[in-house]
Amino acid sequence: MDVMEAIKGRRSIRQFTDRPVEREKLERLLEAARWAPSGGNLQRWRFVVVTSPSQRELVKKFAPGIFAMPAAFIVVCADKEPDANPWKEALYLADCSIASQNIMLTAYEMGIGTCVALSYAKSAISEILELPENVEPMLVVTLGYPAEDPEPPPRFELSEMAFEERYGQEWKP
Amino acid sequence: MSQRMVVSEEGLYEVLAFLVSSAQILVNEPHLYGTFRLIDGASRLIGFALESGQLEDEEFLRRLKEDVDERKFLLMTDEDTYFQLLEDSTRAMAREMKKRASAQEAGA
Repeated sequence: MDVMEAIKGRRSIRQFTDRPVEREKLERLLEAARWAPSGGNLQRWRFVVVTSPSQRELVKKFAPGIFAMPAAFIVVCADKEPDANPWKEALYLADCSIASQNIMLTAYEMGIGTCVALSYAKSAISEILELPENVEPMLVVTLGYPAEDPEPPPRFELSEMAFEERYGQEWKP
Repeated sequence: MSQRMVVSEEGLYEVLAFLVSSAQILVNEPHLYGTFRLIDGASRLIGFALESGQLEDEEFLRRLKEDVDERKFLLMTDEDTYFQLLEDSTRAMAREMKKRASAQEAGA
């Protein structure tokens, strides 16, 4: 699949079928995440894959922003250094976000729907997943075979967001 | 008016997990998400009550839940319709509560 096709075709999927996501596909998603760029090549991301019904139930109960049960969650965590400064804190989120996008695009290529969520109780998820104190759940990616085919939401025009040489000077194709 | 329990203990815990989590994450979420969590929480609570099969009359709550679930996600794309949902739900609840109060008085 062409990269642009994946970028433009991917939708946030919030309704899933009951079909489980095959283990080799989960492995491929983790591999895609592993190859994401990271600031200073620190690779401080950690990934917790949740597929068992009991763990999925628990995670979902503490994630008010997740509305239907996915076949799996990948909880994208940051293994934070003690006393990380604001720059490092920003880096953790940036790196985890980029890794999550790799997961989502690779999933799309395999016909798996995803949605990235931030609306979950971090303390509860840490408890459920038994995360060490320095490991923080930064994002939750829900995964499953889509039970919906949503229309793409509108996008702003490039002219509204892209500039040339200096802010405000319109980018021309 | 019936005094029987209409939400199971498991349902109670699930709603509590939802409410407590929402309280925590709403500290930093956009303020409108708070309205969403409340109306979504109402829908979830109705869902457990309907599941129990213990409601004296489930018609009103079933309709309310359907309406909420149909329109709640419009928060992201159509705020006016979403606000109308909140208005309609509140008004519908008030009407129903009035009806129930009248029925209780008549039965007393």
